[in-house]
Amino acid sequence: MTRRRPGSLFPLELEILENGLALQASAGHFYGFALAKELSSRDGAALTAHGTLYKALSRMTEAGILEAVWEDPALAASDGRPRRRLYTVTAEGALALARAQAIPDPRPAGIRRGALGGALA
Amino acid sequence: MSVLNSMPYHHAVSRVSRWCSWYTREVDDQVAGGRRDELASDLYEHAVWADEVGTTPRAAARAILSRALRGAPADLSWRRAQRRRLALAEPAAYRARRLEGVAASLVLLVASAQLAWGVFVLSRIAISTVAGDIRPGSATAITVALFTVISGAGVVLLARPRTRFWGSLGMAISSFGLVHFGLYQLYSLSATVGALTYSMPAWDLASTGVIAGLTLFFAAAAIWWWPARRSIPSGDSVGRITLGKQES
Repeated sequence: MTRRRPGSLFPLELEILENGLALQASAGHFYGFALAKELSSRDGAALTAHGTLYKALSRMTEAGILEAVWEDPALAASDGRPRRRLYTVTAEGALALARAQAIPDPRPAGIRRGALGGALA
Repeated sequence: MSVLNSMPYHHAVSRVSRWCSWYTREVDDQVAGGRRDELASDLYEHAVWADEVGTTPRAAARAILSRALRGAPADLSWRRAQRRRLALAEPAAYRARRLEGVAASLVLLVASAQLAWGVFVLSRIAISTVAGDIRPGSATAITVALFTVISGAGVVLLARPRTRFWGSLGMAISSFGLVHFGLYQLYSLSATVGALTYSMPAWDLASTGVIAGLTLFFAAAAIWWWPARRSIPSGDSVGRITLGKQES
């Protein structure tokens, strides 16, 4: 398993921030499966695995770069579906993304560093 | 037929839900419940989306199972991190859970060995009966069969936390019958046991020691899981209900 260096973002986390911000711009928030669809449509790959996606979302929420709230159960019930966990990219998350994008990464599949300070250490 | 109402989809959801219930067990109830609810939502949204894009139910079910399979290492890693967090937050409760887990595994291992012994003796009886070496339905064979059934029931009961007391009790009762009558039966069926009976000076003492040891071991387990003793809630049943609600 790849070990994270202090203050670094995994490629998946960068993609989550990028795609999450895009979804957030249109709907105000995003949820797990919407994000999986967006990630898949961008690169044409299969839908992100459940474990990989929700582990990353959980980790990013704990680090403060995402904020998560449960949808109003009454709203979900009125639509006849399970409630969603709604995520938004925080200001810290947007800043971390901007920093990561500003740093040229010589390793295409590697981990981008220096984006978060100590947030994900 | 829509994906949401199809059998392949429901089978896939059932498998993924079972997997989720397994890896969220013994994790903080709130965290585990959150993961189960989020996964339930994902599975539902996946089916709705599959219908929108015209995916067949089988293809949608395959995609769901593939996502679960590919994510399994991450699920296990998440579980380990959550358990570590719980251990740091509540070291005493964590130690108690660990001790309970080790005790349950040990008792189940010995119980399985005892059951395997019973099945072995029964298989030897069956082979000898078919070969015509012994008459069918002897009192010893029936006794061994009865204690093997009790042992089998004991192993099943030991697998569930709530019934471990009864399982241990069943194993303690059957240990005498299985070892004593099993050896008695093998004395006439097995050349090895026959030879050992004559050549090993402390054979009787050894067999009595095994019987006493097993009985004491399972009696101690029964005392450990005495019904008055409060078991540690695993939260597993709660999890199943939560996910079940989401699926319905």
